[in-house]
Amino acid sequence: MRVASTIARELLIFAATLLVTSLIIFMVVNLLPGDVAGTILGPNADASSIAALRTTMGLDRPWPLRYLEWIGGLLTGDAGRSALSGQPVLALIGPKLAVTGWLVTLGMALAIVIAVPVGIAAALRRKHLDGLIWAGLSQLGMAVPAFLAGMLLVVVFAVQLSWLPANGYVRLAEDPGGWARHLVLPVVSLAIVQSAVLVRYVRSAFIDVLGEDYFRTARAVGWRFGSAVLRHGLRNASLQVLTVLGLQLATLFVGAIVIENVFVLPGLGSLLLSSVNQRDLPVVQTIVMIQVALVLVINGVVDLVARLADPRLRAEATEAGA
Amino acid sequence: MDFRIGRRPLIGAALAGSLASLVGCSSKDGGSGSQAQVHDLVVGATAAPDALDPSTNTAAAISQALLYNVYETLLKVDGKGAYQPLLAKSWTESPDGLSYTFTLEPNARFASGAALDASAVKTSLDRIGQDPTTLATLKSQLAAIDRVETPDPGTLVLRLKHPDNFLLYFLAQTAGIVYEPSALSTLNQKPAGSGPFVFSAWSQGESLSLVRNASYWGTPTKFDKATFKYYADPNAENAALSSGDLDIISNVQAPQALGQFKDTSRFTILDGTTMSEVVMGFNHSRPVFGDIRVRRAINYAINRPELLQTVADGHGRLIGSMVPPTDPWYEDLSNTYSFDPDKARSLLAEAGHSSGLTLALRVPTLPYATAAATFVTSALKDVGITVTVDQLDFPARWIDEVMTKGNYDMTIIGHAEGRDIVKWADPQYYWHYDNPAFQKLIQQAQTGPADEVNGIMKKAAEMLATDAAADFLYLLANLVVIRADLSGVAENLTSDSFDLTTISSKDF
Repeated sequence: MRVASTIARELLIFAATLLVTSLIIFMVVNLLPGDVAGTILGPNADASSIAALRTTMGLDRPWPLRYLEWIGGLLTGDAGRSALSGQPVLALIGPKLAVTGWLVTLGMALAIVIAVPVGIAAALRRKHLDGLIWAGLSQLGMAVPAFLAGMLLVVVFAVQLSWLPANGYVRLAEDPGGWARHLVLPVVSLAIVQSAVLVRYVRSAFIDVLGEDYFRTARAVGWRFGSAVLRHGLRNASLQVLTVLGLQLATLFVGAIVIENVFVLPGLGSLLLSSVNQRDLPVVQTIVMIQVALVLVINGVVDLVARLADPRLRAEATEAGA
Repeated sequence: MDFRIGRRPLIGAALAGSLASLVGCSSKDGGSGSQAQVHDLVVGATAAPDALDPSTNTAAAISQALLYNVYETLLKVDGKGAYQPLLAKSWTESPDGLSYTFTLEPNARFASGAALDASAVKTSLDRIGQDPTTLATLKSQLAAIDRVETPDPGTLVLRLKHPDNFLLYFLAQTAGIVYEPSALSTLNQKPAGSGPFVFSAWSQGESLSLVRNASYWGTPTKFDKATFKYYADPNAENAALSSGDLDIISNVQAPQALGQFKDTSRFTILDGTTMSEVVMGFNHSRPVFGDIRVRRAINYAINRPELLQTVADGHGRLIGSMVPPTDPWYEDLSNTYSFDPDKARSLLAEAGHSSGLTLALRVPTLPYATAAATFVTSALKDVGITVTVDQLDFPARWIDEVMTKGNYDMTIIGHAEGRDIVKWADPQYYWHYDNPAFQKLIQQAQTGPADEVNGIMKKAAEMLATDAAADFLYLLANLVVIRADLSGVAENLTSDSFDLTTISSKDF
């Protein structure tokens, strides 16, 4: 019962947040100067034909009406059509969301695979030269912008060595090999920077854990160092790291556009940018809504996982609910 | 301790292994290599289309991909400005210039197999004239047509309201496209024409693919497939050609980057002309530009050869008026105002601006425009004009502020449309240039005897130059890089189309 009502409450807050956000998004997006009628008719049109098209497209109707139309459509799963091409917005966004989704999840997965062992090593060997080198390298990795890392990788692996395509994208269903080849460089350049950030958190989380009483106790009762690290260290440190990971993931879904641009990946960010430039507002509004929803969902999941992993949080939640 | 030492090489090995296996894949089916069975042509471009119907959306990217490749017109303009038959086998003009009779190509069909007869052509031309959703620019290009007659399926007659010497030219461009009549309602998603290529797929912002029209009525293309790929970032486009993902870059955005394609065993660089005049326009509705001394002073103050060197690494042409060298009435007017800052200063003093003048230069966020704005600002500062520059997002913001609201003193943009010199005869257009003598010349050229057109248009171009109607900075270069085995790419751009129909490879 208690669990069900907690979930219901969370969902209600989720829906209310989205509704308020949608209003803000709509207002801000519609404040942008210029409109899609001008884009369609271009530099050779005169002002009167732009005005006429604006009327035909209904762009001169009052904003509350246009907002209700949009939000009403969204509630029934219909985000309307692109003002430019007339394609359904969701059909337009779907494939782009998949591209960004692959890029971000694979990039983060690789970042974790790199950062966890490196971070632990840097923590364990923090008083030795090699540990300091790891920490220094992560500092360096953070200082390198993702796009620069991407461009360097392209020059080496695509232009000089011709091992991998310089950019572009192939759908997984069409050609799995081509899909993988096209994703290697973008995923690696994303992972380089994100793992550098992550290494620092893993390292400091582990240093904290190594100084905790329970760790010393584990060693004292005869646990071998490696087992103690794995059993107690990893689990406790992961809680701190998880929060950072959630933040990184959320930021990337919005910020992957930099990598998308360098590698010409047809992702959400590129579509958002071009739609803003062209003032294709139905597309802009819906993409931003999806990004907001994704961030909320990621935060929710991080919260949930943290509770499951940490008995203390579970206990708190139970006490608070009682 | 063993932990770290044990893990690290493992990760390295795993990465190296997966890289190696991927590399293995890539060399097997080496992309668009000429040895492959399927001949695929991949063309890089910068502006992606956001819709596909060139009659309702102005984006040049639509015609770039579709005109002549998927869509055909009655006739076509060749590189020398002469008319060549396409869907019309031949045509005649009546002595009074009030009607044109076209004999259609009897074998012509749409890619769907449907007949391409006079009534199909009539449907397309009538649609431009009568459908409220088609672009006003196209309507004005065909405005002289009074009615279209179809005496028999193989003959089309255009009856005109008044003679129009420009009509054939526009019939050969986007305005004259013959669309499949049964597909008109879905043209924005699915183009349907009669060309050697058929529309295959479109991924907005990413690519547009065409395949060979297996039942093409004319000379078929040698390529099984042609894909336009779109790059927002010019560096990415260059890298794609270097690494073999592209066969052609249709228009190099940063001429400074051409050096990387110097290897003639791999690439050919074409450096021709476009029709795109980069104009620094004056807002003639502002009193300050009513004074010709101010307009001339600005023209004298800017060292255009140096500007071309700075902005475009010397690629492009100085033209001095609104006419590209591929138009039959072109003459070099670039020396009308040779760089002379002293003269500029004295003209400004004469005009009463010796104590200084401040002008707003509002440019679109296009690389050449912002680069030129920086040059112009420092050149004008040198003669006592303070220029405040701001950059407006292109297209939306620039169109809104400059074109719709007329809220600017000066702006810089390339005018890519063919024969756009006639825009100077429209006082409503954003320059608000209202010169009755010029308007009369354009009208004479359009409706007068055909053999006088070139002479009159020359005069009109000279008038724009001497009147300093704008500062005609330069003409954008048509910089194309192609794989060395390819040929048949037009060096000079004479339409909106990137014409694939003439391209072939010496390897097959």
